[in-house]
Amino acid sequence: MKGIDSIQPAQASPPSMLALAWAWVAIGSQSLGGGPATLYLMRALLVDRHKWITPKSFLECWVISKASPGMHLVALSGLVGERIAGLRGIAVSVSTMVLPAALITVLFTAGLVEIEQQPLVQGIMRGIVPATGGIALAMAVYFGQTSVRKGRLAVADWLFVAVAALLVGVANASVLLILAASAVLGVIIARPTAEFPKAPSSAVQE
Amino acid sequence: MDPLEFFLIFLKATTFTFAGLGSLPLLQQDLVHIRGWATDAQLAKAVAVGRLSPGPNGMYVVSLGYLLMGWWGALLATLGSVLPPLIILPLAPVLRRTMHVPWVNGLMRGIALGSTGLMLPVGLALALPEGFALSNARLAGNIGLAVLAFSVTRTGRMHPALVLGGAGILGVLLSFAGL
Repeated sequence: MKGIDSIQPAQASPPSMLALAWAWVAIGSQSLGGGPATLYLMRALLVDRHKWITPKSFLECWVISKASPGMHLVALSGLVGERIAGLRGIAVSVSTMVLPAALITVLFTAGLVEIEQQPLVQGIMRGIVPATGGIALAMAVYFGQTSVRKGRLAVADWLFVAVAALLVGVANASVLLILAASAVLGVIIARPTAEFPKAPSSAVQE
Repeated sequence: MDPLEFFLIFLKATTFTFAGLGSLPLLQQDLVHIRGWATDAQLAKAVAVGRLSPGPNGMYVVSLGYLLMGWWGALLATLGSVLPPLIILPLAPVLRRTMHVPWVNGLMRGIALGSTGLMLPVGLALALPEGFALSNARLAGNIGLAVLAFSVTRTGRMHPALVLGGAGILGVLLSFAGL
């Protein structure tokens, strides 16, 4: 726990757990539109308004949360909660961000199931369903663009993406197997191509 | 559907993937292809609800859980997808030091690239739920809607709820036109 920022205290004294819970309920229930909106609300409430966590500490949590499996925002709420109020902060932050959003999602789904036989709703879903496919494809391209290397290596990386797509989409390969192979390949190609030429010993703390 | 198996499928799908929709390929393989517990149309419905309701996009799994197994399904899916990201908490001090080590970085990029590839067939399956068995007119409508949603989402400037709202209106118009 000797990270550069880990000793840095939050600017204000730790909030009451009720105030903290209330802030997360607001974040979890108002953040229409997924990740960017949620992130924006977190910063606006926790950093700017309440000053429970410093901008620098928040940024560091965000960078680390990117390495988590699954939903990065859940990881981020845990990391930020820990910075604000330790173990209690984690429990309060994660549960009060997730539960309202989950509840609204379930009620929304239940409402949809009730009315989905109506012609108007069927028309709406007839438009929305293919659009979700388009959104998923756009997300894939976005992920790809943020992960491929520059220059000629980009061609190799996109080829890699295409092979993974074909193996699963056409040849029905195991998704887990592809992910494992991707991780191994990622490690193998990481070294010789020296992604960080400026900082060969980039493991240094500072 | 065995509740424990159900929970483990969601846990697995979240543990080995990154970000909101990253779990979709694994869930599709396990739930649709291997066990037949879900259909591509249900996946699409859940993704749409996840986009339209508050919170992270990954919350689509909650909707999927509810569609497949009611309130219990929603609870199990929520637990299965909230627990894995928390593994980062004990790892955070180590990560602060090793995140920029080339091989750690390469590992994460490899997984990200693999996930990108895995997402492509899922996106196609959602856009064309019945594959190419659709009538030509419907097929053209679906492809048009998917391409439209793809292009306005890609730039990241338009709010996803607006994109889906627009798609809903277009869907109603297409239905009235008999497409």
